[in-house]
Amino acid sequence: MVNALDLEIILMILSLFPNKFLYFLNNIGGIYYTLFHSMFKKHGIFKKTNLIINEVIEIGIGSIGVVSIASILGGLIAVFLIQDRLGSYIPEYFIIEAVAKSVIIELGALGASIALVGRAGTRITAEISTMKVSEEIDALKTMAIDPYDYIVFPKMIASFISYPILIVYSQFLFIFGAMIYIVFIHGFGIQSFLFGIRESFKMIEFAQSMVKGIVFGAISTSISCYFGLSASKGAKGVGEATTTAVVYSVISIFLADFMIIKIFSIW
Amino acid sequence: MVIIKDICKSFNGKRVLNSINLDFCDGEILTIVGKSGVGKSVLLKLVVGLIDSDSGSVNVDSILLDKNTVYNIRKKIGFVFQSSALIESLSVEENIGLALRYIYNLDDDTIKRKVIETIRMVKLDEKVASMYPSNLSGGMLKRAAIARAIILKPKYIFYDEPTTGLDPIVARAIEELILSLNNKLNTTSIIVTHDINSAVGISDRIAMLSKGKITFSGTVGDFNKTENQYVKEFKAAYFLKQEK
Repeated sequence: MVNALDLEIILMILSLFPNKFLYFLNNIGGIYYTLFHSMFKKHGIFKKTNLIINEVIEIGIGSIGVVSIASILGGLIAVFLIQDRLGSYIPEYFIIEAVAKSVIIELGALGASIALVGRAGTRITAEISTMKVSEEIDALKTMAIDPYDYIVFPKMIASFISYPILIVYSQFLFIFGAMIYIVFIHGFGIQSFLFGIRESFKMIEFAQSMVKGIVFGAISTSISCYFGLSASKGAKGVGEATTTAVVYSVISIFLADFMIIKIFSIW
Repeated sequence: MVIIKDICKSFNGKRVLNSINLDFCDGEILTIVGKSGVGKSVLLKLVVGLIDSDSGSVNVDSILLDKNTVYNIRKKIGFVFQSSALIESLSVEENIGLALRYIYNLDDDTIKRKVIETIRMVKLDEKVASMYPSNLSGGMLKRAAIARAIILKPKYIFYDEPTTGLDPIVARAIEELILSLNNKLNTTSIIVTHDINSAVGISDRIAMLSKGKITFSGTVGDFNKTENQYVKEFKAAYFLKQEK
């Protein structure tokens, strides 16, 4: 809990940077508006099926490459580190369990989401901010087309579909990467490896990673869309919007991750 | 009829529009002239709610422009941007039919028929329909942008610098197109430009915006013979540039 003195210190620090703090608050408000205005509006979801499919292809299928490479390498690194540091103290069965648990609970979701921010989030911000500076967003508005409905909504739905699927895919490849090291390099039996994975699997932990997928998708996409829509004029504005979106997305994903872990730790 | 009343707008503390009063009468072609950066485009964007004014009001057909009415008012207005602002990721056909698909939920066949009809009306080749904006010339882009603006048969069409950046031949062709569309569709056309020749050639009425105010408003005849200081200075500078 924050006591009165802590609060006073926090406020004193914030008062040293009033403009930055106001800018931050303004952005948080804008991100919430982007998320809720795009999602809780009357939508004709069926007439946007093509737009949603296109976005699933761009966000989901387009990110398979980077997620695959990051996940396999992540699995190799995770198991190597655990084996290298703890291999002489714990049995190999526990190494497999440690890898499986960390992948299902944390690494799969976080790794895939950070890769998606880098691949899909930046594309979304760059695309929307370019549309903003070339007056395409204004053109949509003058045709009475709401950009939150036409541009943001399909991307949000595509993220809700793509993030959880890519997280499962990433978890699978993380474990595959770990298996390459443990089975083919370290010489552990494949049956024992799979048994270890099966034994350590818990549905609630898998559900936690799916919740993370949906939340991280919503966070990353709403932040990317918000900074795209609020980009200022020129190429510099596009660059600034993209950079800021990535920074906000990564920090917000880590914060949300911590909160989800805390909530699930109650069970 | 559009009635602009006491509109003020500042950017970063600098007053761009200062108590603007102007009416757009039904069926007329009104051209707003003035130097670059004087706030002509800002004024047009205020009327369609793309920019919020600091004070004052805009009434379109007796409906006050505000957050609740802006989307319905926009359905009455077609807007041709200076940069054409076609959606780069869509073909010309998709650009022109966008509002029909997402606002009026028309079926594909009807949209295609209306798009082709409109493409012919703006004198574009039908082959252009399947092309993307990045493959079009300046004149074709402008015609496609006009087609997109008129497809819903709006009551008002706003043209933001429609001939800027075009060669004189294409610019004249665009002016003729604006004139013919105004007659065919019986619309009210509001044009923002700094091209006096263009303004005099096609307008029923000309308004001069300078120093944040409407400093002159009258017919083309009035504009040609006025002793208004701002108009005279603007004309002198314009024709001096033409001679050079």
